Amino acid sequence: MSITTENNEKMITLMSSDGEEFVVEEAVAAQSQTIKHLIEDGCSTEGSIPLPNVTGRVLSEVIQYCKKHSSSDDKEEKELEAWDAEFVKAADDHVALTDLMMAANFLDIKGLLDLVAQTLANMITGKSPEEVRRMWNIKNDFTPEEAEKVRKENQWAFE
Amino acid sequence: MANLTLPPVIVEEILAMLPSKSIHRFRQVSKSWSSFLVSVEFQKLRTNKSTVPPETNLQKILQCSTVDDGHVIESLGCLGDEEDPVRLQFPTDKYVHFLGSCNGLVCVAVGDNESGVEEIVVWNPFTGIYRKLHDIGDRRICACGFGYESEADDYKVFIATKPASSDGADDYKVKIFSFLKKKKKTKFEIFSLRTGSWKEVKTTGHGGKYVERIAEEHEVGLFLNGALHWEVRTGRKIKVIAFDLAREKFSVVVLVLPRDLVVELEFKALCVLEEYLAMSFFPKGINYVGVAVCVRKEQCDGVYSWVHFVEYVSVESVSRIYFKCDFIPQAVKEGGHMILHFSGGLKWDNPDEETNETGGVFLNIKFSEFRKTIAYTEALTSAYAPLEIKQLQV
Repeated sequence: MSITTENNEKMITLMSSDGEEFVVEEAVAAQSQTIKHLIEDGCSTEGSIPLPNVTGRVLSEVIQYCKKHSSSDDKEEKELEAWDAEFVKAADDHVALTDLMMAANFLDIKGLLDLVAQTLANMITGKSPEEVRRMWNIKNDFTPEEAEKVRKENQWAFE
Repeated sequence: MANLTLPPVIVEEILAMLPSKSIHRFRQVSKSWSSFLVSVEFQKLRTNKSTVPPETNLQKILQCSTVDDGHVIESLGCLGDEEDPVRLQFPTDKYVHFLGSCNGLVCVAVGDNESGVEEIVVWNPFTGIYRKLHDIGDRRICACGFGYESEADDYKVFIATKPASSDGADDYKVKIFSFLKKKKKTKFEIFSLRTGSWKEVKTTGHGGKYVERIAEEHEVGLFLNGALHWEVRTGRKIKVIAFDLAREKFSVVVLVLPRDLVVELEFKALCVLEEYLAMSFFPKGINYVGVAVCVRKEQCDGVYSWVHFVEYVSVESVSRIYFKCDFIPQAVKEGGHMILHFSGGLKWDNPDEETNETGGVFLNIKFSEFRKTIAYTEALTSAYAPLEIKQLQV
């Protein structure tokens, strides 16, 4: 289903995993390489594009990002940077950011992926290995001997 | 958040953005993180990130500092600003000096040079893995170098040694004696990390007559294109001597300098900037400005041709204090920053900046003695003979 607006801008419909529909300009959606390829393959002409890996909440955030970045091509870079900073701040915690990052990865939006990766990296930079494990439920699969060996090898990183 | 699991691709993207210190620490998170963080793939991913913040810049400076109970090796961040030196784990607290650096590996001599080097170690400051080379005996290193030979995939350490001066070096007779000994007994050797042994180098052939001079200049050979390079001054003339690591032969590099350059400027030092062999010059007048002149990569028959002036590097802001120092470019960083080595320490300068006052950042290095600092790149390269690699014992 493609609709054309007054400005002659082609619109496409995206459907989230929980059934929410979003109607966006094609130029905005095409920020995602994944969607761009789907459009090129003619998938957008037969109704909405289903995105089974992305929830409506996350998708609305992604669209917000894509809108900003498609409309401000030649704008001041600084303004866009400031906007990006506010955008990731609003995502609140590492869980939301991780969701956003997984969506950016699935949708293949490089700018968003790097932005969120950097934000998460900044978040964990000063943390201990235990804190990082807790954040993402990572299992500590070292034996005590192995753990001691790795700890000794990297001791200066704790000073 | 109970079921929050991270796909590997997401983890990799995040980890590539981390500064070195965090990477070391996070090797303890899990086995998969640990093995990924030391993998070549990770190194590539990290290097290719164009958006990395300055603190993850992979180029660093090593320095040997004296503390109360011995000596320590410290690593300095890329721009030196607001980042304290990081003390690295090294197997000894003895005095060390650096013989060369290549592909993330650093060649370190342990012990006071005058009384004889005790040990030579090839060390990766980033992974902490090191390898001790076979003993060279009680000798003093008077020229050195470290480089990579791509055809054989081998690293080689080059040293020119003389017998160490004995304890009674203050004694006049001993001095004379050791002077005579020095005159005669310069020994040129290379160590191949692949074969794990020392081998004496013949100094005959093209360039042979200048080779002894290398040992007098006390310089670290500059590695570029599979060869080490030294400058040798004969009167007013400058010669560049190259040692080909694959063929293990010396040669004289043909230099054709622009005439106006030679007339107006005074040669200071040979250096390697990015992929080029370069020379730094200073105008003979009162404006102390360093100039780097680039040469193209080696062409056939060891002939280098000059390409162009890189930049006039303004050192005016520091020249009032250090006006007589030798500013030797060591490396160019992203954004046009240049690391300059001079006899008072290290300084970063940005040749692109127009105002001299904000031209550089001073590092808190009090004094840079003979081979006490060296630039290196963080990488996971290993000095790889499996039998001899030892993990650090803390």
